[in-house]
Amino acid sequence: MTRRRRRVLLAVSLALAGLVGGYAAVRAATTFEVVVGLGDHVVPGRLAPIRLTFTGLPGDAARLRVLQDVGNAWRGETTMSFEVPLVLSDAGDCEEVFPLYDVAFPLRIELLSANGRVLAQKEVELRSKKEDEPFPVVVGAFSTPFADQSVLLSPAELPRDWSAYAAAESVWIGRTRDGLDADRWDALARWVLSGGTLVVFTGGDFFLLDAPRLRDLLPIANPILTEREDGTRALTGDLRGDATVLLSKEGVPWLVAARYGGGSVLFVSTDAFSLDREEFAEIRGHVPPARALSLVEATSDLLDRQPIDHPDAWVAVLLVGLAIIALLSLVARCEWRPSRGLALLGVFGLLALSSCLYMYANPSRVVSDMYQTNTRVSVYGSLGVSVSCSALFSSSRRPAEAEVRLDSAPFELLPRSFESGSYNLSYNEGTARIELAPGERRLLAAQETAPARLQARLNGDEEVRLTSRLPQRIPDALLLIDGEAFLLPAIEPREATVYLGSPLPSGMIHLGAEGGPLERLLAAGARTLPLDRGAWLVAGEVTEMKRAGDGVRTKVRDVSLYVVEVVRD
Amino acid sequence: MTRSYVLIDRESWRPSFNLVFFCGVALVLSIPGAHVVRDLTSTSFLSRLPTFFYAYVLFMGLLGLGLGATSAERGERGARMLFWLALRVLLGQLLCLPYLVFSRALFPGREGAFVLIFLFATLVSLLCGVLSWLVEQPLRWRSSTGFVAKYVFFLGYNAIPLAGIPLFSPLGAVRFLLEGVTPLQALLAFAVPAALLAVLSPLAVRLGGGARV
Repeated sequence: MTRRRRRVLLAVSLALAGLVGGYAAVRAATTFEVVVGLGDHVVPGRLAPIRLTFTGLPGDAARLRVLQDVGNAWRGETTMSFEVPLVLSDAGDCEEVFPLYDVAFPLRIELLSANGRVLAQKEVELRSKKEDEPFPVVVGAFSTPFADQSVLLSPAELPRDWSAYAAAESVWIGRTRDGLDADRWDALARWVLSGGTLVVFTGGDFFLLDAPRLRDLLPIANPILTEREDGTRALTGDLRGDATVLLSKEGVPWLVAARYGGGSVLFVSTDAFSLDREEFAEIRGHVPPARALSLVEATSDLLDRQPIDHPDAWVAVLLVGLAIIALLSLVARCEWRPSRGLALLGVFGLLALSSCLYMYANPSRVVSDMYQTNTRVSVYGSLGVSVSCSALFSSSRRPAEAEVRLDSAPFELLPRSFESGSYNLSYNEGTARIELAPGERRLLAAQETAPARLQARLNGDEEVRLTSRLPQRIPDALLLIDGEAFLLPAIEPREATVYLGSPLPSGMIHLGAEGGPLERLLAAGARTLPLDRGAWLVAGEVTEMKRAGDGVRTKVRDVSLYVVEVVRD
Repeated sequence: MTRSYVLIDRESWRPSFNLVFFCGVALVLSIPGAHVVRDLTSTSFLSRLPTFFYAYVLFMGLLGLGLGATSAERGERGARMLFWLALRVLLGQLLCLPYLVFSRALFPGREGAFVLIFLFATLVSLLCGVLSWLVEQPLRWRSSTGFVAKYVFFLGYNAIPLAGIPLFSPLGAVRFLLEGVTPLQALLAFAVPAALLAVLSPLAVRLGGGARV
């Protein structure tokens, strides 16, 4: 080899080494910090927020994958995989909400490029973050330390997604320097709408917190700051319709509670530093724990009651009978002649054609491989939330794959043992993929943010103004006023004024068919939402369809219920 | 004088009747008795199994055994025997055609599997027919032992492979074909009856003295 060639070879080698080294250096610089749960506290079996803060985020970073192993050697093991687009907030961090099943295994978080290449990954240990029960979340500063199990967060650490508060028993807002931003107030309002409990300390700190959404949440209207005889400043105002004064000081309301959707807001008229330990304890005694709206039981029950399709047994009996009669009359009882052979061909050809026509005329008589019941309860106030659940049953004779469309990462209810089948779940951009063994049943639950597309305003006692921005007509509707039910006509997708007739007989609240899916879903919603108090519009629809794909025929039943808090003039 | 070369008649209708009757019963039993999903989870053991297709392939085999014996009794032999046997097997298939069409409602979207099962059942029925003719034909080994032996063979052929290689049993093969198989598995499923038929048919023609068609 000549000297010149050697030099060229050396130069090329050095250049390649430089490129590889540079690439490795860039990759090595991509790191991220992870905070799992509310202030690093999680409750297994609930949704939990995951916040990532990146250093040296490469330009091709596009997706985030969270992998979770569940189970053990005795129970069996399964893997849950969730993949979502990487969406950065204005602050440059990324916040997502995922179900958390188990703390035995670490959580694996991967940053992916658009083509699925792993750019950076991290494992997060969960054991030290585990809480057995939901806990109070305390935001800002307080004069007195809270109970041991409470978790202290700064306003910037509060999640911006309402479903991230699933592990919170209640959220307490104390003194904050800059208040909360609009996204976080909206998230808290949605959480309360779905059944959460919010305690807000105001007094002199009110104007630090003041925001349109807070005013919407508070049980008082037209707030005014007043100074009491002892020098403490208190916020007063006009009590809203269903607000209840729980505690008073010197005749001035001090703790006021009101319902907001399915949850409660407790308003403390003084700031977080004007109370002593006993007074805090007194307040705690009045704070109800958050109640999560769960449709799992109702959906499982509705799946059990979902009608199945199959051909009529009597048609099969008739077919068999005709075939036997034809065979006996044409062959067994007569002398054989060629014409008999032709008749036999004709009769059995005709029977085959009849079978074919029966199938053509009755497509609903064809059996399905899978049955799926989807339920959704959308709760609307000035904001909206939606809780959904999908229950699937495979009647197929072979393992069948199912796809379920869900707007957020679903929580799968797992059995005690995974031996009967694969419980792996893969969620990618709004579609959850699961595999069901023959005869297996699966349940997926999800919580989503939804714009309030249906609104109702009660004008006096006789008419209600309905505004529907839903794309479809809702056939069944009721207006509930303090437990009294008024039947409404179908809600069209426009504005309409409906005059209320006579209420239905006492205790009769039928939505749709009596004992039907809507009524059962309404009963499930009523366990969390106080539908017997205040004014509510409840409306719903049931749709059924058959879907075929990948050799699997699925009969899908969608049951949707809209629960709207009615505004009274 | 024996009446030969008739597709089906008063003397030979019983195997066909068995096919129509028992496949019909299996078809009715295959229809789920449940009305709602809850019932499906607890009952309908039969509706989970491809009962109709099990009965179909089993009774097509038995039809073949019956037809082979009838052919032997009537003195049919050689290539002519094979020709009429094939026609009678096809007539058996025609008798099952209304059921096959109806069963599409129980197994939707698997028309390809239906065609494969139809061909497979024809092959098994032909094999059983030729085997039965060889056992029953009067010049050779006609005896009660032979009669028992052919049914024992049929039972063994259906049952024994289920314990180890289910694909080699007609019942197992039908399940595989219905639930989806690779081309290699389909080939293996057809290989056993096709190979046996390829060996036995020339033997039957030779034993029959190469009669005219």
